[in-house]
Amino acid sequence: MTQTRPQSPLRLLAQPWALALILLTLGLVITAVFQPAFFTPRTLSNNLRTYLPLVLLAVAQTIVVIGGGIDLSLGAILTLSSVVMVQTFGPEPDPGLGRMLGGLALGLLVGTLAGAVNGFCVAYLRLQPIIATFATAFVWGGLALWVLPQPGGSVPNTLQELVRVYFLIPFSLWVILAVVLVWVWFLGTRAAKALYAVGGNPQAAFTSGLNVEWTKLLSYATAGFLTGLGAFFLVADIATGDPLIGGPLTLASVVAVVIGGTRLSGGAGGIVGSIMGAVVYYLLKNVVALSVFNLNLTPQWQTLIDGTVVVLALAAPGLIRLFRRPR
Amino acid sequence: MAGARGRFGRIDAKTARERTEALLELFKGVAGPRFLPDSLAGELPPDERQLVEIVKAASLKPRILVLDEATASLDARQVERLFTLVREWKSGGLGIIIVTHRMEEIFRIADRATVLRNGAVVGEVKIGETSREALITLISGEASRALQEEAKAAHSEATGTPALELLLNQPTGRLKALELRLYQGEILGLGGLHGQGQRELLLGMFGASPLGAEAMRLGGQPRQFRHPNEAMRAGIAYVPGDRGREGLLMVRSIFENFMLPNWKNYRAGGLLHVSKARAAALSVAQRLKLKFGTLGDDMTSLSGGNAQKVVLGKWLLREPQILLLDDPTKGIDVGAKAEFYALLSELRAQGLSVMFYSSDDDELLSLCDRVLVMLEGGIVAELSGNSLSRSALVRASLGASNTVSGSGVLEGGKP
Repeated sequence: MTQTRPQSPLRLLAQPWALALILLTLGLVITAVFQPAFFTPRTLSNNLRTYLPLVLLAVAQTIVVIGGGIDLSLGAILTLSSVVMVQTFGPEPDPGLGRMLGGLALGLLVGTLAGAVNGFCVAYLRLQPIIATFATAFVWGGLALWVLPQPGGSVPNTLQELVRVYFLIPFSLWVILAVVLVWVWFLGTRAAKALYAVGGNPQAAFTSGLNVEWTKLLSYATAGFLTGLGAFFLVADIATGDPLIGGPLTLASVVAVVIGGTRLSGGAGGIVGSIMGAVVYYLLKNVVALSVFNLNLTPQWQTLIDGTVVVLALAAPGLIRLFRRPR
Repeated sequence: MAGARGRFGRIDAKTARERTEALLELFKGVAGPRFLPDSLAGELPPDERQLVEIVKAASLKPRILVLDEATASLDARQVERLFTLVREWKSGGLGIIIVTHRMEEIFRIADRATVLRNGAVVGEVKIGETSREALITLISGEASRALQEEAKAAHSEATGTPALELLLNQPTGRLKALELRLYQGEILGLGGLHGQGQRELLLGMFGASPLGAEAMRLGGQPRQFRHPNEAMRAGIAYVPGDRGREGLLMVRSIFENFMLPNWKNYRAGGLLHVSKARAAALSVAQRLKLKFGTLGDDMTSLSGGNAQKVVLGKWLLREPQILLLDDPTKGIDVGAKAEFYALLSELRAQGLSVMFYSSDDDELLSLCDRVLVMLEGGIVAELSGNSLSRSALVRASLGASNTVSGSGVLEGGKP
């Protein structure tokens, strides 16, 4: 792999996030052909706002996966965090700054704590990440139903307006930009080196004096925090709470990570691919919806096609490897 | 189990159970009370698990039975019973091959012995016509290589306060009670057959597995390490035996592997001083004569010997006082080995203390000032100066040594 360095266009394809870039381009082209209205600033801005929670979840998932784990409760954490926010905001359309900031802080705290609990189960109790987080997902989901049994509640107008700000570029893009900048900063810290080392080879990390357990716990807690942030953008977008909203986003976050080229075995990868992966996920869904509509299929087909597309997306890196293998 | 076939392709549970009981009966009296058909294999002690393996093999009614170190975890009475059975099986026409590192067992049970060294047959003898001495000579081979002569003169007498002392009063994990001292500027070898506790000893000293509070002394001061981190700060470095599994991040670059334990020294505000770190990595790479493309290349682009240099180099960057090496030259080429030996001599000259397990006797003989031979978790011999010879090393490894008095080593693990 390292001896022959392909020339520039090919080198682009050798990047781990090449698949995400190809799919992103493909998705955008198809959308442009069949749905030109997608690219008006207003629609684009609305869509990006819808994508933003998943983008943050994908980033969260990427951090856990780089650290050698996986978190199947991110969707549930998102739900829990969002209902906590909505309940703290209260019913008034303008509850004052204290309640708004309080709701945001409490939601972020709940998300971080839930992530830390996941991390504790995985790192210190040494449970299998898949099993542990699959199980805790039910706990977070159950807590969310306890906090807000029925869809409802409201979100202060100020916050709804905040995420609809359009300053040069849509608000969502500013958020993504900020996340990427923080990530670039993070890559230059010892914490990042520890994260990649722990995911790449926990044994070697241990015998090099790193605190493997603590690093893992922090990766899950960070993911919980980012998920809480995602929850904030979600409630600000939909302006209400829903105790069942996060479920499907867990799998979507894994799909985004895989499309983004981060190895599920840990120790490699980055968030830029995952961000593209999250957008690709929605574009694919949109393309499916368009075809179902254009081919006059009944809406029941959508779930089947959606599922198939997800499986194909998960399988794509493996398939590419299969064909790339020297004969 | 063979021969317990019932009706409709099912297993005849009753017959199977009876046969299992009969098989376990073979070791009645020498095994514990839990040695029963319904006991879980995982809950049995190691010796009884070994017995299960043996009766399992015997139950297949083979024509040739291979016992590969089958006596390693058995106690004397179990070995006695096994040998009684082996004699029975032999008279029943069974051909039996026993692989063992216990010299006296060969003389007790075998008719003929074949000696293998480095994957080749070096001799075959009839036991009735040979002696222990002759067999040991055959196993060790003639004292070889110019290597052995080379550095001998430089070896110094160990004096002064030990850099590190270890005193285990009672068995700890896989280790027995033992005592050792490592002096400054000394290369202390750990010998013995593979898997006799050398790895556990080194890992324990590096804080990766617990060794009791009062066990270790560094420069005379008692120190306890609960995490490799603490051992590192005390100036200890550890090069693991399985570099791919324990030493390296194969999915990261050469540079990151060099820096893995060292980032702390390159802090610059909240960030890292990458260019400074890069310069340090380059200089150590040159010092080690690392053959590589660029520091950013994958670890997988390096050969085994060069990968091992990275493991060593990441510790040299920390300038340790004590270097623990677990079979560092395993699977690396001759050229890299020679460079490694030169480096080790250089480090010793600088006053580093090195503790060095090797599965290659030649290395122990040529590089080490003293060699401690380990067997079944304990130290059975200390060889130095004139007593440090190949035959003494082999002899001690096989537990046929008189160097340490009252060892009782041949009787195996059980007190």
